[in-house]
Parts: sequence; C-alpha cells; structure tokens
Amino acid sequence: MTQPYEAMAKLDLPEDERRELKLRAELFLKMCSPLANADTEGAEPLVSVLDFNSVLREDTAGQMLAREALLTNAPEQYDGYFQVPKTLD
Amino acid sequence: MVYLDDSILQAGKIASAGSKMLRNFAAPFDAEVVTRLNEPCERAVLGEFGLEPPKSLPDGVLLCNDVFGHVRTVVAERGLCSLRPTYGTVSRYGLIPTACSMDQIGVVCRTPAEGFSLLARIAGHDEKDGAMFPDARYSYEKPAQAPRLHREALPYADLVEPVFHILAYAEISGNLSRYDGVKFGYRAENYKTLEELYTKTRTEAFGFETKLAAVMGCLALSQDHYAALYDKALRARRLIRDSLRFDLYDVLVLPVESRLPVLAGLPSLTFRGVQLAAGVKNEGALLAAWEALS
Repeated sequence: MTQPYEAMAKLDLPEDERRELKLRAELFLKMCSPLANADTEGAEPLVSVLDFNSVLREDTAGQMLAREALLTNAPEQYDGYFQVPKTLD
Repeated sequence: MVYLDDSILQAGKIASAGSKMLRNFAAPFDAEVVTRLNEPCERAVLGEFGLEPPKSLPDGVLLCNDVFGHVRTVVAERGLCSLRPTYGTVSRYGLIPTACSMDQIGVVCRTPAEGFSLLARIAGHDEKDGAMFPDARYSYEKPAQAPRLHREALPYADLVEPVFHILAYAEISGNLSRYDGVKFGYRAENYKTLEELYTKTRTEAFGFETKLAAVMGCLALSQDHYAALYDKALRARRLIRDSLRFDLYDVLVLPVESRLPVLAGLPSLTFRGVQLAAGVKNEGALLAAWEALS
C-alpha cells in the first residue's frame, strides 16, 4: 500500500521499517476519516495564511553567497561545480 | 544564556537540525534572529527536523521552531513556558524549514515576561523572509483590560488534527526533497546511478519519523489522494481559521496535552496511535497563524 509513495519519496526502506510505516499509514488515514464527511462546499483552499501578497520584492540585485562558500558543504566538487555520477549513458 | 535550536543557522557552526543528513553542515551565514540577538549563543540539538521529541532541554532560554509540539510537551512537563509568536512576525531567514506555512521561531523560557522581552528584540519585518507582516517592531505589554471570556464549542474541533497532519506532512515532504546528497549534507557510498545516489542517501540518513513524514506527504499529494486529502484539508483550514471568533473573546484556553505526563522510573503510558494525537493542542493556532502560549 505504501511502497509506491516510498519510491516517490526516494526511499528504499528495510522490511522492519516498511512494516512499521504501513501501520502508521493506516493510523494516519484513519485519523483523516472525519475529513471525508466534512462539508467544505464553498470554502476556497487557504493557500496562504497571510491575507496579503508579500512574495514579490523590488527586482534589484542583493547580496549573494560566494561560489566557494556554497561549495564548502558539497559532498563532492570538481572545478567549481557540484559533482554527481554520470546521468546519461 | 540563549540557546538556539540546531535548525537555526549560525555562520561557521554545524547546523544539523538533529539529522544525520546534516551532521557536517556548516552554516554559511547567520540567521536573522542571530543577527538581531547580537550576543553569544549556545546550540541545542533537538529531535530530527522537529519530528521527534527532544531527549532534553537546555537550562536557559531557547529559540526553536516547534511545529509538531514535541518541545512544548516537554516544556509543560517541566513547568516551563513556551511562547509561539504570531506567524509572520519573526524572520525565518536562516531557519532550516520544516512546514513553511506553519514554521515560526518561538521561545522556551521560565516566565512569559522573559519570553516577551526576548521576542521584542527579534520580532519585526525582514525583507529576506517573504511571508511577514510589514511592522518594523513590536512591543509586548500587559493589556489595560482583563481579557474577555466566552464559552463555546469549537465547530471544527474534529478536523483540526487531520488537517494539521495532512498539510504538515505535505509541506515537510516537499522541503525534504532538497536533501539529495548532491549540493550539501550526507552522501551515501557505493552507488552507480544518480537515482541510486538519491535513494541510498535519503534512506541511510533520515530517521524513521522523517521517512514517515516524507512518505505520508507523497501520499497526500498523490493523484489518488490529492482531492480527498490535500485539497480538502486546505479548504477545511480556511473554515477552521475563520471559525476562531476573536471578535467575541481575547483568549482561547485549551489543554496543553491529551495524556498524562511520563513519570520518572515508570513506563510510558502512550502507545502507537496516540503518538499522532498527543501533544498537539495548539494545532489550531498553527493552522490559523495565531500566537500560542503554554
């Protein structure tokens, strides 16, 4: 039941964790059951909890982190870039 | 002494958010709250991404992002005070995100006065956080009049818990997608493909509660469940928020906990299933972006 979602989450759980997760998922869905009967007709989805649009700022350049600072935490880097395994055959 | 939850960045110091995934992550800059505090702070490692109860709390004032209420539960058991400010009043720039529409840095302290005093120093608009009220500063004072009391049943009380968990898991799942072993954090060994790198890294580095949140979030956002869970939860969230009648009353009083505290030397009385329900009585405040004090 949960394995397709496990794959979507980019996880490959050991069997004991998979069993536990399945039980917890069943509890989660049971807990969600009151929502099935709730009348939400006419209510618009509340996407932003603040009633004003504060996302956009002036389109001016601000301070940015230096490339060296960003790469400091990279597990692997090469010639100033993040390094990953080959993505195309 | 002020302590910082390990999910608040301090330049040059490890900020692990309690996770193996970030155990070597050195923060490249200071969080806005650190800049505003402008004093030496110690670090406190709590549960992974706030999804697990902390093993202990430091002796001092603590700044933390307590979405799932695990910190507040321990705070209640120790007779301390937990102050969660109004969403959009304290900058989250430099806070490792959990559930963005509910993330808010709050204060654990000995008395409300101590917490409000600290809050006055860190609250106020910051252009680096895209979801903030415009006020530059806030002052926290005792109201001139006694708060109005009004007794009534909350109309959507049975929906608060499922709506909170659906939305929190969905948002956490999205935020966890940045941990892929490429740009920062833990990277697994012995992989052949990029896909294998992602999967091995995440499976090895996340704890169980984090894996659970990631999977439940994918479930809630999937084509099969989107309409019944995620979309419906967003609509119910509006009903819950609009049902809080602060035109009738000033304060909403609720129990902090739905179970007895764990007593030293005795086995815990919780069991699987209650884990989802326990210690989350301020979910309504999180969903409605209101402040909460316990």
